[in-house]
Amino acid sequence: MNQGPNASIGTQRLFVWLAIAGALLFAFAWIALMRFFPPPPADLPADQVAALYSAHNVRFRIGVILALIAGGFLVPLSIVISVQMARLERGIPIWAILQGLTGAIGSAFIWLPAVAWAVAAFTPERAPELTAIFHEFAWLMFITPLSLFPMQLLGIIYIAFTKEEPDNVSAFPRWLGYLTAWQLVQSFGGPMAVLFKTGIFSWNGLLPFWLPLSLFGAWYAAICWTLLRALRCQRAAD
Amino acid sequence: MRRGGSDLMQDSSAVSPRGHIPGEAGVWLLIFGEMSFFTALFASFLHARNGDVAGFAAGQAQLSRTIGAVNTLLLLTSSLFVAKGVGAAQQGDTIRAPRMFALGLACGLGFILLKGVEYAGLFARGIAVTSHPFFAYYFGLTALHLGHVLIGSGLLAGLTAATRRPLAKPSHFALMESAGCFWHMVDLLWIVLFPLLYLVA
Repeated sequence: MNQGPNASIGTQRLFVWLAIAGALLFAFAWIALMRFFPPPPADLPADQVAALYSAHNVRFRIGVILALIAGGFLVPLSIVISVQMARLERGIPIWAILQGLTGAIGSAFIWLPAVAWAVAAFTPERAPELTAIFHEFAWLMFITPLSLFPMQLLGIIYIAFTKEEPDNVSAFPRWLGYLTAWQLVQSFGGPMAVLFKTGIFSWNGLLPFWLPLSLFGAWYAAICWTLLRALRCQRAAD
Repeated sequence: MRRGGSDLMQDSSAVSPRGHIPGEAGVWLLIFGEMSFFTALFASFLHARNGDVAGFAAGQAQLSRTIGAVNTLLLLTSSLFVAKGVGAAQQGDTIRAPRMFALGLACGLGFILLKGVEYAGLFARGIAVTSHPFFAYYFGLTALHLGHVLIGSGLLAGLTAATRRPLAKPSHFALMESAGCFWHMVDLLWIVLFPLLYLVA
């Protein structure tokens, strides 16, 4: 029975697939049921905001339920990333700890907005201004918090550039380091949405929404792929 | 993008007679990606400007071309220092290389300082992001660029510290060149931003 560091490879693979399935389920709920793609304009009047939640109220709430179930998808992914980082660190794996903790806490900003969206949809007959408050709360919480994500990315970048193992078997090839660095640099557009209600800097605009979202999608797909490839190589070497 | 790159690279490019691409493939993913993102933002600015040419011109008239031009000069100069620094480090010059990177960093910090002066001047005249769409773009685009300058300055500070000793591995050289390329990109983006925001008539 293998008791070495590679004993958990099967579980790690399962975690990556959980993260993929969770992200897809969340995307389905958010796009198909909550109909938030493309996002509602940030300058929408309160009565139209309220209509977003009352028009297909039950469908919307089912979407929220699925989003709440799937919303933790970043956690298993962060754990596998951390385990893979720890393999490559010397001594106490502090970069892996930083990445895992920030990934886990940061994932709250994916499912917490879903709770606020649930509140907005919960009492469709209330005054529109009250619904609009939770609508804004949810959207700003979803788009703008950048408190943890850059720190999560830092460790991945560091490992990609300092590791000793070859790129073609690594979970963190150098190109992923650069892709992650790009993600880090571009993520600063998000908080700008606090200042703008219209145009490319608003929460439905090019900078806080479209560019980071497409980049996050590419980054997420890329790291899932490199993790699965690295796990395959580690199992073969075992 | 790399001034003086070809002669600096001669001794390190012995492996490849076709010439040496600075940095590594990955950093060009980042650089071309960034440039296409910024191109989308520039296109969006020009599109908005076409809808309100007079309003955008009035906003532009509030900006200080002098500060903008000095900042352009600062970034161009810093790019030159960085290119010299990369060359010096490749020749193992542990005195000249950190000095060049420190000079490049000083220019970058000067840019940041002047940007602060410029913002403060506009705020003092009651101009804010919400004043007019022109200023939404002006503050949004320059702040985003300023974020890049800050990150780049961090990289230059790192290079200043790292090149005091000879670089040990090929990957260290690749990283240094990549950081240099990033700084040249920050410079290049400003060279597009400056005429777009300050000069286009």
